[in-house]
Amino acid sequence: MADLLFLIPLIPLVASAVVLLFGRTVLGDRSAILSTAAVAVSWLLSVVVAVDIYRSEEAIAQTLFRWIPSGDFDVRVNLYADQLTAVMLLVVSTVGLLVHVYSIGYMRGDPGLYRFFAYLPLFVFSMLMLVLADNFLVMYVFWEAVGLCSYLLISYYFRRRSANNAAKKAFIVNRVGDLGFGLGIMFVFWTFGTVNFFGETGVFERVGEAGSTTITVIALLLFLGAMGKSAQFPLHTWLPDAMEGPTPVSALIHAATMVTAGIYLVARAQSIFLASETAMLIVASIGAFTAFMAATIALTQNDIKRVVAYSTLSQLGYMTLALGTGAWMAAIFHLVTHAFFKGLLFLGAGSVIHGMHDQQDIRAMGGLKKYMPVTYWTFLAAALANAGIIPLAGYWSKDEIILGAWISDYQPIGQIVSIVAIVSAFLTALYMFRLVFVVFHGRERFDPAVVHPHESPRVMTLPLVALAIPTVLIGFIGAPPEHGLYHRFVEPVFYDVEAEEAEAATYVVAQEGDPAPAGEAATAADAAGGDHSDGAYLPHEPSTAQIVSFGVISTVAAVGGLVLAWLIYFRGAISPVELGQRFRRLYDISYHKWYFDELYDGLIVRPLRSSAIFLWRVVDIDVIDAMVNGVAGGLAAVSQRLRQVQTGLVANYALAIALGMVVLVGVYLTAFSSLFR
Amino acid sequence: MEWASVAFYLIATVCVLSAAGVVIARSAVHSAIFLILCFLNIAATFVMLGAEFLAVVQVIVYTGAILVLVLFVLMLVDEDQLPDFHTGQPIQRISGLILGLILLLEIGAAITARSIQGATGGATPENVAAVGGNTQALGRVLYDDNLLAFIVVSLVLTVAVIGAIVLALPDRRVGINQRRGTGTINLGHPVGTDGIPLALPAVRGESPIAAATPGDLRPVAGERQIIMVRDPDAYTEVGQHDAAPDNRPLIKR
Amino acid sequence: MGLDLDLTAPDLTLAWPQLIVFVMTVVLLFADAFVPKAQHFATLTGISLVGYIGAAFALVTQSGQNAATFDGAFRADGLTVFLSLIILVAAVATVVISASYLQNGEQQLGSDGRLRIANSVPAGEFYVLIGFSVFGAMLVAAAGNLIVLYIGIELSALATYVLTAFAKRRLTSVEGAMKYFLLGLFASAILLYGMTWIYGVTGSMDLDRIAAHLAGTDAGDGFTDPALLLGLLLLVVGIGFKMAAVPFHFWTPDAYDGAPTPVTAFMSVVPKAAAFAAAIRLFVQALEPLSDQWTTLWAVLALVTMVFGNVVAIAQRNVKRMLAYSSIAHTGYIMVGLAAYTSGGTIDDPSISSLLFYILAYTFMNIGAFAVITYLQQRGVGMMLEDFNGLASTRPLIAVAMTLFMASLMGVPPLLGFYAKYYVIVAAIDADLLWLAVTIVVASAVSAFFYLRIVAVMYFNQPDGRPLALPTRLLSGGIGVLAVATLLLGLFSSPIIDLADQWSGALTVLGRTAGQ
Repeated sequence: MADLLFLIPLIPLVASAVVLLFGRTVLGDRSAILSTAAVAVSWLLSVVVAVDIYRSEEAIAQTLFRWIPSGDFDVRVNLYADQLTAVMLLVVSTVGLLVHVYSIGYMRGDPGLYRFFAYLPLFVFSMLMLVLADNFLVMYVFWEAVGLCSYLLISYYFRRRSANNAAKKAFIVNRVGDLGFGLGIMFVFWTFGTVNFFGETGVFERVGEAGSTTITVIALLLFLGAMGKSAQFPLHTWLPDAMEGPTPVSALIHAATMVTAGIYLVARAQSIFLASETAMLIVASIGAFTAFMAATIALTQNDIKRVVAYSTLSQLGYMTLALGTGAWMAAIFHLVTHAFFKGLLFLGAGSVIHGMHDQQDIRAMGGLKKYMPVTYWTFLAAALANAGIIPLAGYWSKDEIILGAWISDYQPIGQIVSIVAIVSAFLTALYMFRLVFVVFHGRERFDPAVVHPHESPRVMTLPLVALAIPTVLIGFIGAPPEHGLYHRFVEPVFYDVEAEEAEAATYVVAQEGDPAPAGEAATAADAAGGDHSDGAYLPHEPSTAQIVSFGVISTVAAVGGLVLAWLIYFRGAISPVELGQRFRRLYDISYHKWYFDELYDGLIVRPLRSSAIFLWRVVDIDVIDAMVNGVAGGLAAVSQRLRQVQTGLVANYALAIALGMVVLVGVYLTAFSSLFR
Repeated sequence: MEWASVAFYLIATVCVLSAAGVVIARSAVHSAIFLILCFLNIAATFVMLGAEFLAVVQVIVYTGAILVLVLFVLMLVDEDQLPDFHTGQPIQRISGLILGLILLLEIGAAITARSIQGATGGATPENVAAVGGNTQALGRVLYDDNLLAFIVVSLVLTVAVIGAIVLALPDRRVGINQRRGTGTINLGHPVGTDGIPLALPAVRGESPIAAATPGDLRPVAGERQIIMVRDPDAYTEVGQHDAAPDNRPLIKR
Repeated sequence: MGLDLDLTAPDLTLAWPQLIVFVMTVVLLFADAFVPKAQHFATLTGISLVGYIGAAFALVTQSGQNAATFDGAFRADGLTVFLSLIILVAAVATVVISASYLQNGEQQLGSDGRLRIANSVPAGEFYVLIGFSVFGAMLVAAAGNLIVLYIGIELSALATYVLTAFAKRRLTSVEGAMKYFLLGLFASAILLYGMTWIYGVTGSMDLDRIAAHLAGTDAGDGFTDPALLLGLLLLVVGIGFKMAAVPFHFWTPDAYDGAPTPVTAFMSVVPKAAAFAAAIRLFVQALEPLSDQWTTLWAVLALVTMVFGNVVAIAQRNVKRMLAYSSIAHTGYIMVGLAAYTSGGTIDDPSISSLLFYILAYTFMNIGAFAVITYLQQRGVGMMLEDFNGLASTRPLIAVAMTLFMASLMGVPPLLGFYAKYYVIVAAIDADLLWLAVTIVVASAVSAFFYLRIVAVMYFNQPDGRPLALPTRLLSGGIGVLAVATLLLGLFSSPIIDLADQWSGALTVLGRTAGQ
């Protein structure tokens, strides 16, 4: 099986290359079928690999080739698949496949179809390589590659100015994160002398060798990369704008897969983060803040895709929060469930937009339930899952995150973020059902004479139904809480012997060197009632009472939000307009997305712009360009002179050879021989 | 001084002088005759070194066969149609002479100042005598030690023959009226013709290159008409520095 | 030693690859005469391809071999294998890209706007001469003594002279050939003179014996005997001419420009590979004890060559001339590998491996570039920069391939050319030649000037609307394969480097013979 690992990413790559080369001329609309088939094969192989890993409970690896053999810096391109990778493979390929199928219908008739179906498998390839990488450098390459694909796909409608701006914004904001990631990798290499993840000499085994400050710096730099890609505050502003891309792209890249790369990175580098209390604190705080902030913004947005986008931000905040409180499995679990229900939400939103003839403003919708029943029911399922209503997918993972944060080692931050998460859960239900009620129920706020809403074609509704099934059911792989099928499968990655040793090592280091954090950690652990009697790091065993009570709390929060939304937007018992008037200040903050875009514009973009203009007008044109042009002009002039040596005369050529020979012989005989000694 | 030495220096002097004559002589026929003289002297040197076989081969093959053939060809061709070998500028001749002299000096210095003596090879007089003489020794070296080189040399000759045939055969696929045409390639033209944009060969029939107007062909100061195939300028870019009027921008904006 | 008769038959199994090429050439010679006209062209192309590819396979079986035959005149070792492989790759590529050229002849755009044949190139003789030239070059790679080395060079060069003149109705072709021929003879004489000096001083033609003899003569005062030095320098001049090193490069632009384009592609690689083969055999194997002298010499020549080639290429508007100067510049980069040789030739020494890898890389990207010109030129255009106007809109795939070749020649990562330069730079730094490493980088930056100009012209200018026929399937396939190789081979360079590292095996024999 290990020998076939390389086929999983390779097949989409080949499809992408073929479509890129022959899509326009030969394949035409068949490009879509080809790409979809390639991703289907890739999906099939991923399933086989996952089953294989599930059976053997062992990671599989494949060496492809030495990429950079250069002294100490020996980078090989290896593929590595353990349980975590297997989960990611399944998510990426499954959502990828369904989005491909959906796109066949969604993109039909688009003149640039082949481009779309060249970039999409290219993205799938890059994402699969990212999760299969076994060292930081290869990961970084594909980290950039998925960013590139994202850029290309956001600006797919490149004639639209806003799409181009959004693509640039996404790329530039991500650069900030990528810079951090790049620096982090350099620090890793500087500290450990390798960038490989695993094995005796790998980074993860040797985290204990580095000083606590170093490891904190590394962890924070890596997290900066994760923040960019996973759109965490303060680098979150690109994601809502990225909705300029075609809707399937939003579903695949900006909801289900690429944005979770940051979560995957932190989870993969678990041992690095575990070694730094500070880093964990920052990760948890940022996650919680993002979850809350995005939820409040989502309450007031009127663009259907933007609401879903802010919801994505919020859910990514949940995952980050879980990572920061050491609830690794919960984070990845939420990643999985989120991929399905958020993918579904986006595809559903796309279906609505498609049926409404490219109308995205929810104020111009309403009562769509009777026009597009399949979209409605699937969208409802996804909304329920996102809101965290038992027993749908979102409930299980979100509840686990809230519970995990409450009982984590990291206190008091754990309990604070847990409360934030509960509040956000309430808000989540509120904005999700605001969306459902405003779009599908109530009065038709469009002119039926002009707009004829219709259900989308079969090829689009089929993926909706296909995604609805996991949206409803996938939560059960995590049931009962903490002991589901999912937990048993992934557990070896996060709580294995090595992790225990790493943990023990940090305890020893902490006790010897810097007692303060160790003390804190110990007391925190005691307070949470975790069992550390044998010194090993094990997942907390929440009591049944805790499980039940947190289940009740989060359900109450979610249902509360749902009921409130029902009262406001369905019954009309409370007027949303009046509410907005009364809390004018809060409404404005939310509506203007906490003024982040304005803030960045004032603080960063404008100063940069004016300094850039200065650099361009003065430094660039007058100094650098003048220099470059001078050098180029000088070279050209020298070239003109020198070319005249080529006279076309054999006699001159022969003379030049003779001259060269005479000079060489003369110099050498005088300088190096014993002639004049 | 021994007579042998006197004879050697005499032969060597004639040899060098006749070699110089090959280069200096204005007429190709004279050059060829000087070359015969030179080869004969080399053969004489071989005899003095005891290499009779080589000497005979030198006379029969080079002097007898090859050079006579060369003379034959030269006689058959009208001398006026041969390219002029001496159109170079005096500066070329002088600098060539100076460079040659310096090189001679350097080689002389190397010879006189060398400290290591040449190592003895396998063909010592005793060894040669043991196998029955010079010719036998040569045979052994040729057919044993240097067998591979000996075989490959035959290929070199094959290539030369093929090349000669290909280049001399008329073109099979080009029409008969296009086939004939003479052009003189230029190996040494006076620098004075540099100003001509693209001087062209006088070609009868249709030429692959556009026909020349008479004005393009400028006779050079009383000498035979030298035709330049092309001017280096025609193939290289004339930059802004040279301010050529027809210099259009490379990338249109 | 002595004149004893040794009549044991040479071990021809060691020379399988060379023999295959030789037999193929002879078969071609007869096939040319007897195959009927209808199948003539296809048959000859087929025989050539089968022969070269067969020889390449035979070569692979010799990997790891380290033996000599013909009384030490013929060597089958790691160096032979790798260099011959390069030459065969170049041969196959040449046959592939020249096929359509030979079929259609060299065309010209007449004044009436119609294409017509201006030069037809006889296919049979073309293939035969390519075969002989390849055989000669392979012989240089396998040479064990000075005479075989010299004759190999001459065989290879003589065939190339003739090939240069193949478009004989175009006077530039004949003129280029004549210049190449005359200057080539001049250089050969110098080379031969150098060889006689080396023979005179050491008393042997055998490369290993020369090394053994020299190892015993070192006076230890850091100065070399003038006679020895003179021989060395004359060899450098002779070999430098064949490599097209500045200031012995003058034949290159004229000959490259004049020759039919497939021939230009061929002679930009094979004679160069043969010259470097000769250089490694002569300097690294035979004159190894003098390495302190020749490394500095090559370093200086490399510097001058790189700078001169790149700077003068800027002024060229004729793409073939531009590529001629570019090939001079690349000679400079390759010579850095020679200059970075550190005495002793340990297995870890990356210099010669980097040199070998560079020639291989150069083979792919340079022949690729000439393949594109072949495609354009046979339609009567393609020589000048303007002929590339708007190629991206008329033939986008070919434009992409050309862009790849240009970028690779420039050394853009992750293309093949980048890796080649990378290895050479690493070798230079290992040998403490930091200034040379810096020069490579600067020279590459300068080279962007003229390489990118072609790309710019292809993408930003408007096509002039002249008709462009489709490339034949063989030609477009060839361009495609070369482009893919240029794109991907760099990523998989480590097995190639491992193969190149076998060159050091050629030196371990030296130790054994020196002990005798």
